[in-house]
Amino acid sequence: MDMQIILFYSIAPLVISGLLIPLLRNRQYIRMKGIIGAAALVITLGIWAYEYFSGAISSWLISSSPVSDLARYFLPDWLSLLVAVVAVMGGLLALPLARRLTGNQTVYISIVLIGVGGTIVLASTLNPFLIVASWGLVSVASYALASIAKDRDSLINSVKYAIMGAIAFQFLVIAVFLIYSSIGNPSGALLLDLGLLLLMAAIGFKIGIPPFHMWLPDLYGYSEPLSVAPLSAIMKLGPIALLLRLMLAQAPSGPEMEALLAVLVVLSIVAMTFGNVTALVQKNIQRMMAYSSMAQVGYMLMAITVAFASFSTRDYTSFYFSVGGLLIYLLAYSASKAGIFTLIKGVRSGREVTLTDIRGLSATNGAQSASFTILLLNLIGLPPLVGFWGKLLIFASAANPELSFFYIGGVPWFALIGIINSVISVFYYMKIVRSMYGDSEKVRGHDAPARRFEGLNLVIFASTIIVVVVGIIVPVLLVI
Amino acid sequence: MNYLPYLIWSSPFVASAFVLALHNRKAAGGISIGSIAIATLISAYELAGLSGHPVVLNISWFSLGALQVNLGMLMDGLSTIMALVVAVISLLISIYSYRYMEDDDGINRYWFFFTFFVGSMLLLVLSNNLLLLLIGWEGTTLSSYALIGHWYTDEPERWVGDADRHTLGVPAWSTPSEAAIRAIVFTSLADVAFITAIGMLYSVSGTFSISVLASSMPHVLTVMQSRGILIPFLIAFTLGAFAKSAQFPFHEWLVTAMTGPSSISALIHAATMVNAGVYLLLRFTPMFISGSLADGLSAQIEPFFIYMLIIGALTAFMMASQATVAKELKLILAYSTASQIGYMFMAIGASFFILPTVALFAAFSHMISQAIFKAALFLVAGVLIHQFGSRYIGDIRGIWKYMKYSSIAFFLAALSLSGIPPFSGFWDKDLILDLTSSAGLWAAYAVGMVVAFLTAFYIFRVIVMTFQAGPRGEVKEAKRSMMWPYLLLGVAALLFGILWPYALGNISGRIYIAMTFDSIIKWVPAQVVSQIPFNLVMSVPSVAVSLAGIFLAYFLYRGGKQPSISKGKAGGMFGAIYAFLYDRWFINAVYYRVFVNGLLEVSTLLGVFVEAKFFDGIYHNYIPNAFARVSGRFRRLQSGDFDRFIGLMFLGLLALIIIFLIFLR
Repeated sequence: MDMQIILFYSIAPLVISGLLIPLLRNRQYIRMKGIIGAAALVITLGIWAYEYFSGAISSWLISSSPVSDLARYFLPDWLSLLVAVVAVMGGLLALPLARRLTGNQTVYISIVLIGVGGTIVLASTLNPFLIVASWGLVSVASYALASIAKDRDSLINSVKYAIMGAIAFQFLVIAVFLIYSSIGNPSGALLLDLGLLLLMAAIGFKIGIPPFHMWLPDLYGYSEPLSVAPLSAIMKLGPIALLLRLMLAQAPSGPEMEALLAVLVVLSIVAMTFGNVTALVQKNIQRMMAYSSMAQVGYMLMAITVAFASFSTRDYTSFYFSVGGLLIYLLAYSASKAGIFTLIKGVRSGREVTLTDIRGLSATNGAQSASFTILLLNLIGLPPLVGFWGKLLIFASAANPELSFFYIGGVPWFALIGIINSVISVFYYMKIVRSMYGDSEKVRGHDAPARRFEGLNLVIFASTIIVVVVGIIVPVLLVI
Repeated sequence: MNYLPYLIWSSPFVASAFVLALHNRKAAGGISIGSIAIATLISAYELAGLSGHPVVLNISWFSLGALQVNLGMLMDGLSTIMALVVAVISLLISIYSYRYMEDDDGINRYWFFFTFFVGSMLLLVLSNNLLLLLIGWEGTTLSSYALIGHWYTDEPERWVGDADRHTLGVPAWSTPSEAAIRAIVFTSLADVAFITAIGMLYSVSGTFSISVLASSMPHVLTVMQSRGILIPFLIAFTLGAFAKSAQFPFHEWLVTAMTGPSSISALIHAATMVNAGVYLLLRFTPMFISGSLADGLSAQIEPFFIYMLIIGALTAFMMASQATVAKELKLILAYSTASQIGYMFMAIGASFFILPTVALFAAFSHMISQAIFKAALFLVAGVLIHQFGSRYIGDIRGIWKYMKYSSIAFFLAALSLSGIPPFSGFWDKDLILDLTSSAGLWAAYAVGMVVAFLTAFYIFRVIVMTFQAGPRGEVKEAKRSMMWPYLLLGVAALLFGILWPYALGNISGRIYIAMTFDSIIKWVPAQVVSQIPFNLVMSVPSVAVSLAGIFLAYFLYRGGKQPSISKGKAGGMFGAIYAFLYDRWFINAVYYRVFVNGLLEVSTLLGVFVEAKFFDGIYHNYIPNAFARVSGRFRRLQSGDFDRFIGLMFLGLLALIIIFLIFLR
């Protein structure tokens, strides 16, 4: 059988189990359903591993001829492989959370599985129909996930999210139509440019880049944290991979390319700066983390921008640095956000969870506080955690002197903006750490707010371990 | 490719990892001794297999862009002989330590840093790469720091200097933990200059490789000269070496380093680490001289060698003068170490003016002699201090009666130090003096003679005082496994001296010497090596002053006498001189008054005015307020108004198109 087809079937376990699990209506079997889901994820990973070891994964990110890719459903390469790995990791981290959910736990499991499947397809195709179909799969999974807890905030925010998502979906469909109808069309340049801009807008919505982000602070900030965890850890991966792949495959050349580059740069800087600066004054930790997600996406966009620029100038050192950095950073981001939103679930008692709510957490829950700290340090990008290596590669690629676009008078301004943003972000991340550790004396004696970590610890510690262990492995792999 | 030489420095490192991992009191010593024995065997094997040409080994280590760093080793006569000397002395001292440190609480820590030190030192010696050399260099600094402060609980019997004595209001004693910090501060201060100079060297030559630098040195010197920083560059590059080898003005750290165990004083602060600076200079001075000759920069480079002569002579004299009045046994030996290294610096300084190969050989030879006899002296001192329970020579009595073998070792080593023929110390010191007089450097010659006199005096002052009869206490001879290492070193000092002229005179000796330096000094005609001036008549004065020193010591201190001056009771001019010498020329006190207290003052001022008023104002008021304002504006965008959301999405799309059009030229 064709390798392509085998890989395509690799998402079958996810989709089939995702569709069948809700048929087992009995709530008693939730643990078994979770195990079935985990098994489906592991099988998927196994198929990808098998394909990798049998040499079916090409090392190149896109194939040389964009047009001929239309016929191919699947482009199994490093990009899709690593996005699949991160998505499966996100899925495995999300499944244990089902048991703490007040809402339909069965549906939660099923949605996570379908979301992972959609993400894998979205990250590994250039076929327009598959793009639209898998986008739909990921989107619907996201809306359902957002509305799964039946509290007021979750419902309102998920409705907003779905309506805006519908508009974004229109953007995407038009974008795909424009991009693919421009292929082979001698006067198609304008169509292509417009299509790519629409694509950026659609993806900007999906991953929350200002000004397409308006759903994000509310949804991430007030909805059920257990919904937000997979939303931020899994559902962003596919669109990011799609943006990278489509930009590389279909981008025009010459002045139009530079203008597109400028748009990407603006989006990246806006996302970083807006996210970080707004996060500074948040008192609600969950909302702070929402803005932090926005800022993190800015770094990823930086990687995509550099990849795009270096690919068009055939500067492969920078290209591999930026794409490698992006993939490593995706892993760091997913693991951290899954762990952090799970932690927020543990300390959240009312509608908001403020800095005063976690005061003295280290005294009552030492291990959880340590995990929280490590996950935050990972987002800051401190060695030896995996986030550091991602940021290092991304910033290093942006500072490559070969890319004159990112230099003004000998100053690598793009990398510099990223670094300055990283520094700004330290302030609000460290506020949380200070609150957990610094103020512990003041809390002792008072009745500490309710903190319930049962059912969450597995995910919290697993994500922390991933962040530390992968952070140690990555430099070894880089050296080899 | 031959990977065996890499084992020389990696086996002690591996052993240190094992010591740390096993954390077993019993196994630690055995593992360490074994690993050093391996290093010794391999370096002996490599030395035996060395032909006239240097061997350069390379493993690519890492590359960052254009920066290519190799795990290179340079094995020529200089580095291989040095490595063997380091390995053999470390081996003997490690065997000595096995019993000496047996009952110590921090024995694992001791062996970890011991082997870590040996590995670093061998890496420093053998590496063909300045970065790698620097790693070894700083590794020795670190382990030196840890071992000086080994007894970090600071019991008074571990101190150096008299408790309660103050010099110019500054305490004159040092605790182990303080001494450790002093050592790392003094050496690291100079290393900053060293590292900077390595950076300059790299930016000009584009390489860290020592063997490549040897050929590109003329270019480097020319570029430095054209920028007008030739002398500053040379001084910066060698400043680390000056600090490591305890030359003025960095000599103070070595004095207080005596708070460490005696075995460590023998290993690090007498025989190996303090010689690292000399080694670095021996490695690079030939390049500087040949480089300056090749590009006609002789006149420009001359001040550097004069500076080296002055520093060497000053240190040699200053430290020898202080040793004549010191009361603590190890302190005397520490002064003596810095003083003898001063001789080596004088020789290296003189190498510019006369027969460079010979002068550098003299320094190298003296370094080896010094390592041997000084290690023996320190090891015996360790036993004596332990047996008599006091670090003051006034309390040590009758060692000839109760400790025959230790006395013999001490006596042999002391004769070598005094420069009595036929001991090794005689040949190289005489060669150095000979060279300075032949080159017409009369001031250096005169200082050298005075120092020779002082040296013989202070070491025989120790011998006369400690050998005379005294009350019998619990004193007994050292355990055998501790004794034979220093006995062997004492005999080696004699044998090395007896063999020295043969090695020099016959063909094999010539090859030996040529091998040492031929690798870099290609411009020196080979026959020069055989022209080593050796004039026995010339050595009569130096032997005479040494004998004079010995007799003066005997005359002043015989039969338990103590001249009133050395009791610190004499008044008037003698008392003033005594205090001046005993308080280490007041240098330590001045350092504390000027640098330490001065910095504290500045720090207080900075803390009160600059930090609290200025920076706190910016960081805690101005910047946060500004961000809060901006951030508040951003947040107001997020109103929750749904129409606005959708409107913004379309406006955003429009904005993207507009940005695209703006940048589309």
